[in-house]
Amino acid sequence: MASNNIKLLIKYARFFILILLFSGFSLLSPHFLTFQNQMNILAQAALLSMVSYGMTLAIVTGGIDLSMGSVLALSSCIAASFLKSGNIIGGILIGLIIGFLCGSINGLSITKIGLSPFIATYGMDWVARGLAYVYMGGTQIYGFSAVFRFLGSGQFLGVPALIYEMAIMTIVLVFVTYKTIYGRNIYATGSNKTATRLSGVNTDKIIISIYSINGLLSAIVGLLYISRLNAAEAVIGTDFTLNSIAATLIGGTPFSGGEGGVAQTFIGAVIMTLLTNGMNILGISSYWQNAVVGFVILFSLFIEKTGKVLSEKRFESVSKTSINA
Amino acid sequence: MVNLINSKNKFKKVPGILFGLLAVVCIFSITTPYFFTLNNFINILEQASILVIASFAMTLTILLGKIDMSIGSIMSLTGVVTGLMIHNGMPVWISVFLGVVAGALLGMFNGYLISYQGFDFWIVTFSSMGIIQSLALVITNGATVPGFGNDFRFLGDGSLFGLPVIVLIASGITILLVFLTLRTTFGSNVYSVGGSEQISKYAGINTEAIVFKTYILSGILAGIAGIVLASKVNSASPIAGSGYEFDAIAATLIGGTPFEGGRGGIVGTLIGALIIAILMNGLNLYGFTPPIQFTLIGFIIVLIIIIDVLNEKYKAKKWGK
Repeated sequence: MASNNIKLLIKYARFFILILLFSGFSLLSPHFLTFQNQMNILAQAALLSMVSYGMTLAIVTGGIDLSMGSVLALSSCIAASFLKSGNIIGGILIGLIIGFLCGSINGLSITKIGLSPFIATYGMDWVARGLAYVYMGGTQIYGFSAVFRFLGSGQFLGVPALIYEMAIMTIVLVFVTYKTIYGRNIYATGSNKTATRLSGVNTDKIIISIYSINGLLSAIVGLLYISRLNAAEAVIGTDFTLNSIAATLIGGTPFSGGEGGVAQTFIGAVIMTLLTNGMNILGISSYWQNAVVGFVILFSLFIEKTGKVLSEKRFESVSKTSINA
Repeated sequence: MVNLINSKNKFKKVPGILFGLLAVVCIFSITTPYFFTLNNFINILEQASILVIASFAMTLTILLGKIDMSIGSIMSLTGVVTGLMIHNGMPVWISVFLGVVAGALLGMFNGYLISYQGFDFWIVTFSSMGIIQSLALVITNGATVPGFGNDFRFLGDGSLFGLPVIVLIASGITILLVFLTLRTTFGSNVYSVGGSEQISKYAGINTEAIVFKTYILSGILAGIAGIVLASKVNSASPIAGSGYEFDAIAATLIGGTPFEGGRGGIVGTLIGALIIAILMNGLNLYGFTPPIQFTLIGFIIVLIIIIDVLNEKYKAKKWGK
C-alpha cells in the first residue's frame, strides 16, 4: 500500500508540473493563453506524442529506438517525391513501407543478431539519415496538393486535424497495450524477458513487432510533419529522438522496462511541448532546447530513483513491523 | 564469467585486426594510384590522429563495460571554449589548459551521475550529449569561431622533427595510455570492473571511484581531441565533434574491445582508428561526394559491429561446448 501511495504521488507530481508550467507561462507572456496558441501547442504535442508512443513501447520492452528521427526523415523524403508527382496514396504507402522496413531491420538486428538496442538503432539512425541526404542531394521538395496538406494542417470544426489523429492513435495504442494479450506480452517481455520466453511467449517476435510499429509510427509522423510544413528535407526530425525519450521518461515510464505506458507518455509529451513552446514565446534561443531536454531527462531519473528509494524504505519498515508483531 | 586478466587475453584479437588493416591498405593501393605514397600516408596519420584520441576516450569507457556517447559534444564544446578564450586575449597555453579542464569537468559530470548516482550510463551520456551540444551552440550563438594565430595552430598544423605535431601528440597519448592500462593498478582495476563490477567490488576494489576516474579521463581525452581538431581545421565549430562518438565506437569495436568490457585495449583501438581513417581516405580518393562517403562509412561500420557481435556469439557458443 505504501509504495502504491508514493507511486500515486509521483504520478500526480506530473500533473502538478503541467499546471505549474501552464500557469507560469500564462503569467509571463500574454501570447501564451490564446486559443490559437493552445491549439498550436496541442498540434505540436500531437506529432511529438505519436513519436513518443513508439519510444515508450521500445522502452517498455527494455530497449530504446534512437533511429526514429532519421527514419521519419528518410520515409517522408522518399514519400515526398511521389506526393509531388501527384500520387498521394502511392506516396503515403511508400513512406509507410519504408518506415516499417527500417523498423523491422532494427528489430531483427536486435533479436536475431543480438546487437544492443542502442547500437542497432543508433546505427540505423546514421544509415537512414545518410540515405536521406543522398536521396535528396541537398535539395528540398515543397508544395504538396491540398488534399495531402489537409492531413497535417487542415481543420475540422475549428480543431486541427492533427488533434483528431492523435486522439485516434492514443485510443488505439492504449487499447492495444492495456487490453490485449499482445499488450500484456509487451510488458512481460520488458520486466523479465527470460521468464516470459520460458513461459511460452515468443519474445523475439514481440520485440521485432515493436520496432516495426516504431518504424511505422515514425513514417506516419513524418508524413504528417511534411504535410504540416508543406516541405520535405533531409534534416527534418533530428530533435524528435531526444524529445521523445524525454517525454517518455518525464511521463513516468522508467528506463528499466516493464512499467509505464502510452497514456503517461501523453502527459510527458504535453509537458515537453509546453516547455519548448513557452521557451519560444519567451524568446529563449532555440539553442537552449536540447540542454533543457537533457536536464529534464536527468531530472526524471532523479525522481525515479527517489521514488524507488522511498518505496523500498517503506516496504522495509512495513515488513519489519509485521515480523515483530 | 570472470575474465582472467593477463596480457595474452588482451592482445588475442590484435593479429586478426592487423590482417584487416593490411587488406584495406592492399585494396586501396591496387585500385588507386594516389594511395600508396609517403605523402598520403602522412596525410592519413594526420587525419587519424584526432579519431585516435577520441577513440581512446571511448575505449576506456567501453573497457568498463559502459559507454560515453557525449564524446563528440565534449569535443565541440572544448574546441569552442578554447577558441573563444584565445580570441578574448587569453594566452594560448592557458586557454588550452582550461579547455582540457572543461573536458575533465564534463567527464566528471557523467562519471558522478553514473558511478555515485547509479544511473544508466546510456541514458546519462546520451542526455549529456544533448546538454553539452546545446551549451556549445549557446556560447557561440551557433556561429563558428574563426581562424587563430600561428602559436595555437602549431598544435594541429605544425610539424616537429619532420613529423606533424598532431601525430606526435597522438603517439604520446598512445604510449601513456598503454602504460596506464597495462602497467598500473588503476589499469588492471579498469579491466576487472569491466569483467565484473560485482566481483570487483567483492574483491575490495572501489568500483565507484574507478568508474568516476575513467569518465574524467575520457572527458580529458575528448577535450584534447576537440582542441587539436579546432587547431587543425583553424576554426571551432559548435558542431565540429558531432559524429565522432560513432566513429570512436566503431574504432573500439574493430580494435577488439567488445561492448561487454574487460577485454581488448588501447593498441587494438589504435589499429581500428587507422582502419577507419584509411577507409575515409580511400573513399575520398575514389571521388565519392561527402554524403555518400558518410553513408558508406556508416554502412561499413554497422557491418563491422554486426560481424563483431556475431563473432562474440560464435565464440561464446564454442566455449559453451
